[in-house]
Amino acid sequence: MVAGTGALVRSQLGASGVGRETVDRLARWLLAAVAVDLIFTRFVVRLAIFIPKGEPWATAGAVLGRVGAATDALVAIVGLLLLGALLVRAGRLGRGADRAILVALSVVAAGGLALVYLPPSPAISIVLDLLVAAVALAAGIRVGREGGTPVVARIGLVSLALALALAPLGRLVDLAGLLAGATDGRSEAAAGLAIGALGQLAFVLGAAFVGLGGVVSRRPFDRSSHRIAVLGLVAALVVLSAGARAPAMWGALAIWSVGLGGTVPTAAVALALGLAVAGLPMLYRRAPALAIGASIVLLSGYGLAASGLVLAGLLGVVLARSDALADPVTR
Amino acid sequence: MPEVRNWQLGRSMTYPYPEHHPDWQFAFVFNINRCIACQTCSMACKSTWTFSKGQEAMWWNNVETKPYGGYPNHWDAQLLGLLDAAHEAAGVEPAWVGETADPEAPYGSYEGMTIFEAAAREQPQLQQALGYLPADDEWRAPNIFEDVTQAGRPAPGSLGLESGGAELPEHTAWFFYLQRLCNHCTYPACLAACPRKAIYKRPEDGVVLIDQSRCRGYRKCVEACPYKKSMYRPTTRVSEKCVACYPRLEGADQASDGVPMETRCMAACPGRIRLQGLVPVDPDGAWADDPQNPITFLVRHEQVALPLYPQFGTEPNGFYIPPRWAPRPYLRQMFGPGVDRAIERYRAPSRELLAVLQLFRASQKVIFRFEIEEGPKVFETEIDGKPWAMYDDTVIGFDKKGREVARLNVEEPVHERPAPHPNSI
Amino acid sequence: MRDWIRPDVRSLGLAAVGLAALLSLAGVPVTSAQGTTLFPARVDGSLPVDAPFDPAWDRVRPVDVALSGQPIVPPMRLEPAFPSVRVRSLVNGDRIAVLLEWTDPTRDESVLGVDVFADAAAMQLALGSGTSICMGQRAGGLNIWHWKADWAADLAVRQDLEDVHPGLPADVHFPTPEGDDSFGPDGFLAGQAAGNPRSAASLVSSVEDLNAVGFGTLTTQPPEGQNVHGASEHRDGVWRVVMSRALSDGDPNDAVLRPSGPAAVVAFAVWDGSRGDRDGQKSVSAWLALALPQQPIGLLDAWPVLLLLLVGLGLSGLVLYYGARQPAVGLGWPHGRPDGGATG
Repeated sequence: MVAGTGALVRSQLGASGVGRETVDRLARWLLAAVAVDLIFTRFVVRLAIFIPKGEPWATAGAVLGRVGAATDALVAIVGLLLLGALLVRAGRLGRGADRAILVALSVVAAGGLALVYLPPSPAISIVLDLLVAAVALAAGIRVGREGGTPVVARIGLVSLALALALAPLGRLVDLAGLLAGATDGRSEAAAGLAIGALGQLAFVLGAAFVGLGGVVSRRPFDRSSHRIAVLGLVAALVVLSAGARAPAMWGALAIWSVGLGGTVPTAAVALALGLAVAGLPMLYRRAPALAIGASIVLLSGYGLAASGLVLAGLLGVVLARSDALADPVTR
Repeated sequence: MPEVRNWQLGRSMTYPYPEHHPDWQFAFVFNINRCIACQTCSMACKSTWTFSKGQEAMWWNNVETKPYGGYPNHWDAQLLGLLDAAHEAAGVEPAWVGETADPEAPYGSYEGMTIFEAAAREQPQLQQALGYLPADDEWRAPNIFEDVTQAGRPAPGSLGLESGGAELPEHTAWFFYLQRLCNHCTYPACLAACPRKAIYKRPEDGVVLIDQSRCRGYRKCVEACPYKKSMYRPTTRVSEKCVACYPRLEGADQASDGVPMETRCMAACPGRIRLQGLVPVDPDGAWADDPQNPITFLVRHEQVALPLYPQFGTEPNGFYIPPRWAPRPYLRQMFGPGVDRAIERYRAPSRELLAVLQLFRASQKVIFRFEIEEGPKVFETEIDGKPWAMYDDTVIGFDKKGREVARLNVEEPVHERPAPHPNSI
Repeated sequence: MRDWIRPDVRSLGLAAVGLAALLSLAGVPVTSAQGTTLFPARVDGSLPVDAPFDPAWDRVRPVDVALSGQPIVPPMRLEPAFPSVRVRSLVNGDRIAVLLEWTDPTRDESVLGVDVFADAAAMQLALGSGTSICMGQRAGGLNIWHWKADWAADLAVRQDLEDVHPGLPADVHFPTPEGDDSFGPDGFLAGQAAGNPRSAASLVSSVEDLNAVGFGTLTTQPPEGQNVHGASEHRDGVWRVVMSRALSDGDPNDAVLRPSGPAAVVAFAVWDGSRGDRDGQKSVSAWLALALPQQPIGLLDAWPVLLLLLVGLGLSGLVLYYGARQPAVGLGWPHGRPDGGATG
């Protein structure tokens, strides 16, 4: 969405702190990595199942698959680097709450790595899911209380954080039933589905509000904002027409790429996407970190299973706060 | 989806796979005017290929009575209905537009949708081709409603009997026989629909086969084939279809002398309505211009034989000389807009055409080339107000190795016995 | 300001890209799936592999796996036949059994009519990390266990035409020359002669063990590789199907199921015969993780993961401590607001 905006305006961060610059740069790297992951791993590679299986297509498909695997790994690696940088900075200047959030996030990251090689167990899964929800909520609350202007965008980020918390909570209900020894599991499954649906709603609302925040905070008589608004309109129309012409295909793509499983009507998704595409570049000029954080969350999707994306989404919420506090950019 | 060229439609159309053509194409011409529905062809096929358990209702070759008959029941009326509904939903008129001078578009251009295009218009595209799956009981009779005519227009008080029902050019009470087997289509719908890719078209002769080891009995081919010539066999749980007697086509039959031989159904025809050949195909899919090949001559030069339901879009390779007595609108629906010209040419055949028509069933060997030796004029008359003359020409057929396998005169030899023995043996 | 604490972010990023490429080339995954996980219950002794309604199954809590239609490739089914399939799993020292249960009022186990299709269910297991949920791809294949209601019914006595057409005349088919026994009493069975498992006269299991690397590539394993056992029962409008296999079988075409190894990645599909379901016309699930426990599940049994979590905890503490020791102008928020580091 705003993957290329790093070139639009160089942030005014910098002179006063090397560490913040490091975090800022790494955040942009993470944003780029998540964007490439969305485009490649979750979109192009999945579309590649439709290309013919003969040569040279098979080789091209295999190459695409490798690129997809690499971007998948890139998200996790950059996420870990950024997490390290944030920890260093929080160690120097952060408050207790910041440190606690980051430490919890480190445990989530370690868990994601550990489960690559070790079998999960219900208890471990519950611990990790709880931590994800806790980090999302705590970081969301920090944004809500201390995030910069515009307020509408802040509300959007809180909504996004809520979505990130609801995704693991849906699974948690089911797991809790398993641990409690219930033998049917249907009511927990239904509750889990309901929570998941709420999370999707929060995610879409968050996207819409973040975008709206950017739109309302734009500078008047800014010509480039018209072009960006047109871009948002185009994005919304593409989703609308895709949803109308090929609802099943659109549904599959939505769930694969950003984890939206059809709870929210396509029209609402289109509206939210349009607002986000148009609003985030505008928001970037006012509050770059808020915009970058929100973009990372949106690009990493809702409730996707890959541990790298979970880490990226949570980092997005954390980033939104840190910079918003530090640097309401004025020119 | 790839675009492929369909000469029978005079345009390109969509098909799930890109164009790739065989060197030769199995093809045949049937003269409907001569068929008496004796089913000798059907039995020749059945006793060769489908005599085992689970094939009781399986007729790779059958002869059915039109307009009411059909094996499976009403197969063509059902698909035409589906196609009509698709056209109505799309607001498209399934019309043929204008005759063109393009030799690769002999019937003009079909502006409607093929079964592939009708399926692709659905979004999302659920199937590869528009079709339906007939139930068990629809396959029970190879010639149901045998000899049942269109009622005609009997006068009141005539007890339903019609005196002038059989007057040319169009009978009011009419039926005709349609001889059917797999058309070994250029763009087979069975092949398009098979999710297993278990169906393939042979590069050497264009014969379409179901790989009996890959088929998993999904019956998508049975559903998709517009001619319903892919059939499910319950005892093996997989589908089977006409194999174009490929061992004979390959010259592997003991009697073949190493050259391609006509299929069993062709070779058994007592009515001499069938002529089967192999047509040379250019790499771009167009038929090579080979006017001495009898099939190419009849289909492309004389245009007296027409494809069956070309609008389905599979480019079938079976061609029919339409029955001259049947109502033209019905025939145009069945064989396309070339019907009027084909009947006109069949009623007053050219000197060459009359000679080539003698080649039907003249040999078991596939005739790859014919030659005509001119003979004397033996008869003169007027057809449609125009003078027409018959010559006792000699037509000679050659097999793949260029050896003569048939030699016939236009005028059949007649021997008149002397008067003292008019009826004795 | 000391230079060594100013990491050059660009080279760091490029190094990350290189590392990611290297890891993916070497096939080393760094992300795990944290979605829905199936936890097979561990039992001592034998598994109820032949008894789908054994009380042992009811002691296991099922996971309700949501199903959707198949809207990806023709032939499609947009709507699922069933909203979900309930999955249970049991494991002992050497075998795993998976029970699928779904509500289907019609019991379809014949394929003897042209338009008659049987119920079926399948579990697909990812082989390697680069696979696709849609029938796999070249970069990573699938191992598929496919249960068929018609095979289950065929196991005892193969269903034949007489079962659906009792009045079928037992006419003698074409006579064969004396001594020619190339045709059996049923004549020539082309599919059987071609070695098609669907046409086989006898079956070893109601579950077919298959592989796939993309659409149209589904391939049955050779007879010696058919090692998935099946059992099924339709009771009160509910199908219960048990598929079971030895944990380690050494077959390279089979998915590796290793206790205390990483979770296997699986997905499920169900076909409703009376709806005409077959092939891609099916109801499918998303990917799930299948985690095999070594011992009965308990918090302390997961000590390797706990250890790694502790390492994560410790490391982050260490980094925090390192950060705290840096001079104020080093890393972190600028001076102005030491509490959170905001500048005005």
